[in-house]
Amino acid sequence: MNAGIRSSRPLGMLLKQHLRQLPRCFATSATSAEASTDVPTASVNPYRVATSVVLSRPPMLTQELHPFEESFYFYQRRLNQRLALPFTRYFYIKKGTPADMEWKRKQKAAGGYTGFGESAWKDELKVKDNDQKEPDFGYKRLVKTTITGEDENLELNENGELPEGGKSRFEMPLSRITEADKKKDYRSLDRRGDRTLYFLVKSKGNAGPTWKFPVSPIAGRENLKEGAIRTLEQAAGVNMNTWFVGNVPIGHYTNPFGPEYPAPAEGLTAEKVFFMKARIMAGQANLENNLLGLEDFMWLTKEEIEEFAGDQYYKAVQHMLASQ
Amino acid sequence: MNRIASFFTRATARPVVAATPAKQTTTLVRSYAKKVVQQGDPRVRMIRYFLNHPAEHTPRPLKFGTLRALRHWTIHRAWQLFRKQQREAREKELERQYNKMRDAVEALKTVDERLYRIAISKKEVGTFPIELRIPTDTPPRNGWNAGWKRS
Repeated sequence: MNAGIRSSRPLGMLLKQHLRQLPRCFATSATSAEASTDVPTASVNPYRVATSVVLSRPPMLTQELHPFEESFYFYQRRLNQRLALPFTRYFYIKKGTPADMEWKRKQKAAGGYTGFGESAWKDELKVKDNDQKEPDFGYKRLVKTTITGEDENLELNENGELPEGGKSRFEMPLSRITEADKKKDYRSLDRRGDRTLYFLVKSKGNAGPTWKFPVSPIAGRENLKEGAIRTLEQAAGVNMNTWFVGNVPIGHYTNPFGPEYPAPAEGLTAEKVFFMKARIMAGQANLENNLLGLEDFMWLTKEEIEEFAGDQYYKAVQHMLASQ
Repeated sequence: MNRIASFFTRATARPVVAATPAKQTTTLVRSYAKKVVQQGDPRVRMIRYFLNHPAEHTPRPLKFGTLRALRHWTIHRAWQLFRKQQREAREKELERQYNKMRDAVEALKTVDERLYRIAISKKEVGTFPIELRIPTDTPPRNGWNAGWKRS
């Protein structure tokens, strides 16, 4: 019946119809070929499945501004000053009052640029004019120009300074560079607040770049996430408040068995390591009595992982790590 | 105490001043020589004044010379370019992370069907933890809570 219809059509149509049918033919042949090769190998799995924990501390601090961003924001601020309605001072502040004096002092300390009048056009920064950059977020300027009644009540020592442990209303914000940064304490979680830190461990008795994410083979009928939770507890103890993000592995790595890394059983050719993502929110790692034979741990940024883990391992994991 | 008292006396005095009829005086004194008496609540007067007399130079259109305009245009283009570079870098990073995830799941399927099924199921994914904190400009005063213990 089909042949009769086809014969009434031009040759081009025939070809088109035939082509449309082609993929289906290929599909059937491909699946049959796959089935014939895969069925025998599926019974003997040549891979050992292992699970690894990518435990990370998300950034605690906001990102450092790019120099271009910084200057662009300054430019925009000055444009805004030129466009905005000037402050109606005497509406808010009565002349000659302490509030008025404070306002004048603050204006002076802020740099003295006004976006109107004769010199409004001079809105650029001069060379060596670093007044606009305030590493202490304007803290010193604020303290210097603000009147508080409590200054008289402060218990100062003979030098006129606040004694240690004494309380002031204005607390100096802490520096973004912490003690751990200065000491290069890789075990501290206070370091590199603006970056994601990853938890890496070192096994006992191995030479060379052996820093890795904690890893262990799947045991029994557990799934990848359960395996990852168990691995972390065996490696670094239970005193970490962690959150495992989803059930899906974020990357994998094939580690072939060989003379340096002998296969635990006959017929196994390689270990497939699946990485599970986790976040730490509190607590710290403790390697005492760990079951995975680890001797040291570090919290590293992505670039430092490249330095400590070695080229091969870093290439396997680099694209699953965050650059910030 | 004194302050409160003076506040009340002022408050009561004000309506008396406001209520003095102006017409009575006009019959006695010539109007052009009349001293203008400020009437009403001084706060309301202030608001009226500043609404009708905004600060000097109020309508200030931003006028650019040729070179200034050119410079502004250049800065604007540079900013757009910078934003674009940042956006593309971020998108590419996300794409790389997604690709790694997809490859891992594909590999898991060939290695272990059971683990694959559990991994892609949405069961027991868990909820977002409230303990995660957002980034701040300066670090917390007590540093990282390293002494946290599982109870």
